Amino acid sequence: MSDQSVAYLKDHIKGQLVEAVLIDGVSSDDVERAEAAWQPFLVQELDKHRRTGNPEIRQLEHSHWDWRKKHRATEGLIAYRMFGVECDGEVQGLMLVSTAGHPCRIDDQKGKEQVYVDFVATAPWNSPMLVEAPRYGLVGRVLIATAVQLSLAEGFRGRIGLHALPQAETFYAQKCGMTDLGKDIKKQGLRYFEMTPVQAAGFLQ
Amino acid sequence: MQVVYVDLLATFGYSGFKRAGMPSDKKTMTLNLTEAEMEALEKLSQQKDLSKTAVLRQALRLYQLVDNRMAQGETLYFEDKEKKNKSELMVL
Repeated sequence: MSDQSVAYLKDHIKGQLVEAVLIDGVSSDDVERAEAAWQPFLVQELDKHRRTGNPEIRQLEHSHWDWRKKHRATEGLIAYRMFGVECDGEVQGLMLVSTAGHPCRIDDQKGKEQVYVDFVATAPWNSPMLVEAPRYGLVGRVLIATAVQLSLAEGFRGRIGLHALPQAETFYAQKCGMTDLGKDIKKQGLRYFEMTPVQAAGFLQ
Repeated sequence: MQVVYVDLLATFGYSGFKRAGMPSDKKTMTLNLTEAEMEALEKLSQQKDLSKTAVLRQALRLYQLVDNRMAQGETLYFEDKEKKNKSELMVL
């Protein structure tokens, strides 16, 4: 089942907020459209930077993620939800979350339920790591806000958790205001971040 | 026998978190529980800071997840960090 609602992204070219569509229940067609556009763009940009020898551009840490595979693996499982943001006819971001099986770790909320963000990514043309002039901003923020809203709707009081790729650590710590619980050796040494109800309220303001 | 009413919408689809105030397409079922089952449900509800319905939804999500993994030939283990031993959990 798929539902859509309105979200707003920052159009960097126009310098203003533009209407986008938040998809709850991303379909295999949506994923196919995303991968069909994201991967060629990524390959083309990386090739361009290799040729020009641009030292500022780095490989995106999530460029190897296969969203088709993730969609197939979780389709029909009620513990998982996949969200997407669409704007200008293209998928601008995707997020896979699970609503069970990832209890909180912060002492004050240890063992309580939360929404765990398994994967979240913006389209490569929106990444300042890859392109000099990203097209849309706020994609990550809209998706994380969606995870928080889902947590509230599920009765989890806004609690969310995730393991961050190094390139995104600052975003979760500073922009989202999440607590950094340090490296998790059981998750490839990625840092684990968690959001409390108070932090969630602050983030949504 | 105790009775609880369970809202299954979030279990089977949309949670409604973006459609507040709109007509609900939730399904309702009546669930008969023994005293012991209701006691366990109330205890979990309190411990997890969740409604009884939310606890049952979580249970169903986990059950489906575990069942799906086991159907693919995987095994569920619990690990004791201090004793560093693992024990297999037998599921139905």
